[in-house]
Amino acid sequence: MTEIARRAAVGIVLAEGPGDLIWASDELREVLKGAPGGTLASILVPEPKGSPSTTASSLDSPWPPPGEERTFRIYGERPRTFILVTLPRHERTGGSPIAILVERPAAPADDVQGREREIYFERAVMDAADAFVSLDNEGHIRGWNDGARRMFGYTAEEVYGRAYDEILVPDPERRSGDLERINGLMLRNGFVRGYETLRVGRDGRMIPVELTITRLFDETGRLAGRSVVYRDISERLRLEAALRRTVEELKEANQNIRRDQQRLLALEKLSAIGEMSARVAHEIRTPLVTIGGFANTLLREIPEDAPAHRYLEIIREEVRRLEAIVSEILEYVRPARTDLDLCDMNEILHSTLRSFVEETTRRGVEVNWRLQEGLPAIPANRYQIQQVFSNLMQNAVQAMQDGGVLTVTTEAGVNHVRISIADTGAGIPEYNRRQIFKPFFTTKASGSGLGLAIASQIVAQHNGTMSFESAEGRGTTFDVRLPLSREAAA
Amino acid sequence: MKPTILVVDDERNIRLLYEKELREEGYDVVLAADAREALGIIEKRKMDLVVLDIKMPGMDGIEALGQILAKNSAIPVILNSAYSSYKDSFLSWSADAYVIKSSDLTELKAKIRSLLDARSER
Repeated sequence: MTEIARRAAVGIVLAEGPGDLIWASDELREVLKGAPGGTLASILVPEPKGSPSTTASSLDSPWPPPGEERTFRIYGERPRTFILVTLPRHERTGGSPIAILVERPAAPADDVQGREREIYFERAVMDAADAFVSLDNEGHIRGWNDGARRMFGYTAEEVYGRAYDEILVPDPERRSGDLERINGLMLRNGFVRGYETLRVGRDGRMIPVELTITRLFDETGRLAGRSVVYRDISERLRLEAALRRTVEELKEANQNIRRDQQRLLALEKLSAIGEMSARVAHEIRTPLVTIGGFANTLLREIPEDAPAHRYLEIIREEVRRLEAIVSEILEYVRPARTDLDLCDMNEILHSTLRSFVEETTRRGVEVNWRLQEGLPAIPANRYQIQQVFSNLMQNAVQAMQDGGVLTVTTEAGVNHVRISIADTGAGIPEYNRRQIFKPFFTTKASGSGLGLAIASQIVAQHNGTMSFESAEGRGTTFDVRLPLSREAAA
Repeated sequence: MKPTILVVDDERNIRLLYEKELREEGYDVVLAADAREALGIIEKRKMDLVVLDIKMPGMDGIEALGQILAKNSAIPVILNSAYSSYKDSFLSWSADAYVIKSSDLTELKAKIRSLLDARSER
C-alpha cells in the first residue's frame, strides 16, 4: 500500500499535528526538499480561486472538517491543485488529526478553447523562422520545429533522440568551452538569453546564432530538460559589418575632407607665395639688367687678354643664369592666358628646335623628324606651346650627354593631336618619376626645376594631357595630347 | 644726323646703362626719369624714338604711351619692362615693340635699329 502511494503519479503528502510533514510521495519529495520550513503552512499557498477563505495557516488549527477539499499551490512551483482530506483523530498520532493532501489529476483536455490555443501555439512554434529545439535532461533532442529543419538541414526524424552537441556544436566552439559557458549561465540564472555563438548545419556551413534557453518542466512540474531557440543572426551580422564599413568609409571621407581643407590652405599659401615670388622676381630683374649690362659694356672696353675680361665674362654668365631663373619663375606664376589661335604644331616644333641647333650639333645629337603631313591646326596659345616644346627639347637634348637621336613625332587622332618628343638618353630613374612635374624638382646642376612644371601647367590649361615613358639607359619619350576643338581647349 | 632716342625710366642705373650703350651705337640719347618729364621733352624737341619703361611712380608707361601717340602718332615707341604681363594688355599693342628688360641689350638694340630703318625708308 505504501509502495503504491510512494510511486503514485500524483502527489501525496501526509502531515500531522500542527502541520508537520511526515511523509511525501517520490514525486513531491524533490520539490518539498527545496521548500523553506518543514510545515504544510510554509509549503502550501492557498489558491485564491475555489477556496477564497482558506489560508495555509488555517491548517494549524483548527483542522477543517473531514472530507473538505481545498486547493493549494506548492510554494515556488506552478499551480497544482491538491485536495486536503483531514482524517479524524487517531490513536497513533497522540490525538492530532492527520492531513492527507492528494493531488487532483489535471482535467482532461476537454477544454475546446484551450485546445485551440494550444494548436495555434504549436503551429506558431512549428512554423517559426527561428529554430525551436527541445532537449531532455540528458541533452537528447526531443523537439525539432520546421525552423530548425530549415536552419540546420536535418529533419525531425533524423535528429530525434540524438545528442544535440554532437550534431549542432562545431568543434572549435566545443574546444573553446562554449557548452561549459552555457551550462554555467543556466546554473547561475536558470536561463540564457542573447548568447551569440556558432552552430553548424548539415552541409558543414557555420551559422552564427543567438541562443535563448529556458528550463522545461513536464506537466507534473518536474525538470524535463531545456528549450533552445536559435536565431540565425548572419543577416544581422552582415548588416552590422556593412554598418561598420559605412562608418569606416564616413571616417575616411571625413579625413579626406580635412586633408583637402589643409591642402586648400596650403594652396592659398602657395598662391600667396606665388604672388610674392612674382614681385621679388620683378624686383630682382632690374638690378640684374644693370649689373649684366655694365658687365657687357666693360667687356668691350677691357682688352680680351686682361684677367678682368675673364671675370667679367663670369659675371655676365651668372647674370644670364639668374635672369633665366627669374623668367621661369615668372612664367610659372603667370596667370592663364585665354587667347587661342589656330596653330600648326609642325611649324612650332620646327621653329622651336632652331634654338637648339647649336647644342644638338655640339653634343652630336641627330634629329629624326616624323611629322604627319597636313596635320590639322589646333587652338592654342602659340607662345605657351612653344614654351612646352622648348622645355621638353631642352630636357631631351641634355639627357643625351654623348649624342643620340632626338625623335619628334606628330600624329592626328580622332579629336586630338599627339606630339611626342623622344630621346635616347639616360632615362629617368624610377625613384624620380613621380616627382618630375613638381615645381622646383631638378636633377640638373643649374636648373630652376620649373621646366616640366610649367609645361604640364600649360598643357593642362589647353585641356590637354602630358605623359611620359622612360627606361633607364634607353631614353625617355614625352607625349603631349592637345584637343582638336576649340570648345575642348577653352 | 644722329637719330635722337628718348629713354624714359625711373631707375637711374638703367638710364645710365642705356645712355652709355646707345651712345656707343651712334645715337643721341635724352633721358627722362618719369612720364611727365618725358612728355615735356617731346613737346620741346623732336625725338626719333622712345624707349619707355612701364612701371614708374606717377603716370605709368602705358598711359604715357597714349599721350605720346596723341601728340605725335608717327614716333616709334618701344615698351621696355621687367614685366611680361603688360604684353597681354591691349593698351600696349599700340606700341611698336615690347622688349622685356634683359642684361643682354642685343634685342633692344636690334628693335631700335629696325624701327629707325623702317622710318627712314618711308
